[in-house]
Order: sequence, then C-alpha cells, then structure tokens
Amino acid sequence: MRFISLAASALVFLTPSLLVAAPGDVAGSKDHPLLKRYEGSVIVRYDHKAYDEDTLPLGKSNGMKLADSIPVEGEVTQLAYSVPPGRSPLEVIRNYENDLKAAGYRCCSPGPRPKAWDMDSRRRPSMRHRRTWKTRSGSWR
Amino acid sequence: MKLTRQEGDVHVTLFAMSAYRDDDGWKVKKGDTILLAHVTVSKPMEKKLMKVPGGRNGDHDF
Repeated sequence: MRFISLAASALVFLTPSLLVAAPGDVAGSKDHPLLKRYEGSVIVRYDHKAYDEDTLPLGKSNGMKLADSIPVEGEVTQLAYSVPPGRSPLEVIRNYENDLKAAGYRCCSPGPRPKAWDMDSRRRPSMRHRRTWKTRSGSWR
Repeated sequence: MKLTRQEGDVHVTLFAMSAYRDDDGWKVKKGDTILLAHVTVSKPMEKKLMKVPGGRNGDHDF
C-alpha cells in the first residue's frame, strides 16, 4: 500500500517535464501523469475537468447499457489516442494491462469481451475489449 | 461488485477498439486502433463560492 503511494508520488514529481504535447496531438492536450502513452500514438481527443462525475463500468455491457457500474467523482481526464497502424486493440490493451498490474492496480472488471455495439450505437466504433482498473490505495499527490 | 471509495483513489477505464469508418473529426481512418482512457482521481470538490458584498452570504453581514 505504502509502496504504491510512494511510487505514484514519485511519478508525479519526475514526469511534469515530460508531460508535453507530442507532434500531432490535439491542441491543449497532454498525457495524464498516471497513464503512459503507447509508443507512436497521438491524442485525438482530450478533456479535463477539475471536478466531475464519471461512470465506472464494473460488468458486461449490453449495447449501451452496463450490467453494473458506479459513479465516481473527482478530477476527470478523458483521452483518446490514435494508435499507429498495425497495432491491434488486443495488443494495446495487453500492454496497458501488464503495466497497470505492475503498478499495483487491480482489475475491477473481469475483462469481458463485449460484442460490438448494437444498433443504438452505430455511430461509435465497435468495442473490442474493455478493462477497468482501480488502485489498491493511491494518493498521487 | 462493491468498491470502497476514498479520497486519492484512482480509477482508470480503458477502451481499445477499431474504428469502423473514417472520421475527420477524430482524424482517424477505418481500421485504425483507438484507445479511450478515462482517469478519475477521487478528491473533494474545491469550494469556490465567493462572498458578495451586500449579498446573501449566510452570515448576514450586510
């Protein structure tokens, strides 16, 4: 527990100079200090709120409806990365899965592979994989 | 699943997917891999309400 907190704190202090927008990133965006960037990817969407509510999915999705979820409040950062060609969603999610596990996060969702979004969500890309993570402890300040 | 929540908790939700069509707004092409990430750090809301001279400030100091 303590180790995770210290590791997170160190991360925050060591990385601010690295948190700059890369070429191709959408204006005003930057990486989150707690989430690494997949090599070669660019930020195509970015939103940050000092205090907001977000939905934490905890179960499978049935179309646009989640079987189980809880609202969480706090500082919310939403990022969308476009990954270089030739990299599958599975490869990307496995990279993050391994990294987050190593950083002390635990998975809240068992990792269902939901089917593609139903007709109500035709405008969205089909979802391939989803994982939800949460730290064991983890003040990052 | 129940979660105990406390200040400082970090929640990371990741969605990796393949774009099914070109999207100029997102600057992605059909077949591109996209990663959506939501990072929420639980923390108390900052109190930002300011006292207004002559206004209704609760302590009726006008």
